[in-house]
Amino acid sequence: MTLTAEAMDANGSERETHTPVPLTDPSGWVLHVSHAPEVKRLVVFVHGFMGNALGTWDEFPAGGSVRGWWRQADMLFVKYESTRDNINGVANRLRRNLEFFYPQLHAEVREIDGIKPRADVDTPYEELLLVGHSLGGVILRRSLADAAEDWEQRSTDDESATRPAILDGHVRLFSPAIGGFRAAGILGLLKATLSWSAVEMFVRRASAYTDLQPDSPTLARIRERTERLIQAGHESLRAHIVWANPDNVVLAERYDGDFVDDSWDETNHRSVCKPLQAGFPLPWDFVESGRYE
Amino acid sequence: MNDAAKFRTAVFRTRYLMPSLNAVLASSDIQPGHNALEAILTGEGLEPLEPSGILSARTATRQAFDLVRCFELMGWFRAGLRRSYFIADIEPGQGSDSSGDALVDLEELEAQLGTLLGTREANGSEDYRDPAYLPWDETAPRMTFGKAFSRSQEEMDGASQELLWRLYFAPGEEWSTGVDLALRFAVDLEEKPNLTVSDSVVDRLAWVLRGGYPSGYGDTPARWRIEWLEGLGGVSSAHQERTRSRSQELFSVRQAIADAAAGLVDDPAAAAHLAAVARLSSLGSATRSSRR
Repeated sequence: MTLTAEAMDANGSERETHTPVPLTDPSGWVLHVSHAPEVKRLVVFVHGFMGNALGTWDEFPAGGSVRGWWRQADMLFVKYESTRDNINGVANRLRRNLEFFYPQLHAEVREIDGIKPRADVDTPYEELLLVGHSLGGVILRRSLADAAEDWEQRSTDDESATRPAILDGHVRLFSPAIGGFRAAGILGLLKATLSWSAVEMFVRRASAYTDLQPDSPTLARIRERTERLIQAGHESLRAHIVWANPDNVVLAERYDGDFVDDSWDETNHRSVCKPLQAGFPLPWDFVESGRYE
Repeated sequence: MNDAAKFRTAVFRTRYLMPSLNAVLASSDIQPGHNALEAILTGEGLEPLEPSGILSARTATRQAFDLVRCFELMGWFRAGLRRSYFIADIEPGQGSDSSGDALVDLEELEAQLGTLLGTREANGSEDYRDPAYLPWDETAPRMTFGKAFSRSQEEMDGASQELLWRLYFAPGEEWSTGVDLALRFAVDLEEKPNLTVSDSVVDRLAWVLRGGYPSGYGDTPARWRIEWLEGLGGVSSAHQERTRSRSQELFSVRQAIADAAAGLVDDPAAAAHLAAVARLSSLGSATRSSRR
């Protein structure tokens, strides 16, 4: 893939199309703000077990340097402590806070020190993409199910109730842990993370790890609720899913009502969500369109 | 691109530089931190600073660490200027504490720290401000400046900061206390596998578990900063020796905790792998030491 002339600086170097802004609230979240004159969408990224807000996604933030679609996107990278936080806590935080990020540009970045990131900071986004990897997929599904149930209840009581922002989202999941870890998944996870966080996970007896066991009541409940809600007409809960092959960490099971899934050969649990300008653009394509190739 | 560079510079000033300067200026006077940094680098030790110093040795060494972090940030700023990622509107004299009272001449501060740290010698450059030590290669196709900078800041989480401070800046007593706590924890875990550990206890040990280095694996948080600190021209052999000794102690503690934690894993293959992590870490360290 080659860079377009538009995406090059006068000196021939890659243009930096976005500025990462670390947010104070919620702390640790990073919003990559586009400097394009017209921005149409917000893409929200939720990392997985022992992942990082930015590191998990590698070249995703640089998408604007190769594709116009990404130049017209702001990117929100969600951070949480996977060895400490529980699934419900992160899902609730995400659902609650997303209202402040979509459809309007987040207030904290509309102007910093009197300087705007782009001339138009008022036009609302036209679309929302929700992207999760591994545990991040479980968190997104829990947030969506809660938002949909809350919406069902509130709209019954009050016809003028506002629809939760997160329900505008199109869901794209990379090897989500919605079916839990494989029987020997812990070994795969250790090999996939290669980090001392694994020791911390055992020492803390991390609740998220317990909740990702294949027979976990938490996973069963999220699945049962989501399938019921999809059947009741909540289309936004249907997910496009792509699996790594081989994936020795999670079980590859989609929910009834999801779009037909697919797998990418010669990827693994860690690499499946990391696009590369040289040779692996599929993750960008997948987020943009939901297509697998 | 000018507007984008202005915005980035505003983000850099408000989200990175000012909080870092505010940390340095929390006690208004930066001289204790400066003195502590000099004592650390020359290997004189910190004992002369306690207990009669203006600040405790702990506070002074924290301030020394914050000064080095400011120096690193200014390096990022200079590298970003070359790339036109930032624009030059951070003037000397713009550093201030949270009340806006105590002004700092950034250029002078940078010059003082550059001389103290010996960056001329380390960089092989005449310019103490040359940010050649940063983990960013302009010719690397995959690493944009923005990515390199934001990833470097993401890595600098609380555990990484604590690890760097303890390994390179902390007075001996602080180091020993931290290591003893970690060793006691490993023994307790070994003797009582069902031990329930509160989050606050694990939080206090996070620098041992999560600080990333020493680890035998690839690019880990804080690693490049440690290699930079080890390579500075101003670092004495006495300081290097102390750091080497602390690294070895850290390996031992990690090994003990990993062995104890392996007892918590049902899957024997996973338990063996977990225990092996620490041994591989030791090998990684030996490799790095022998290169020096």
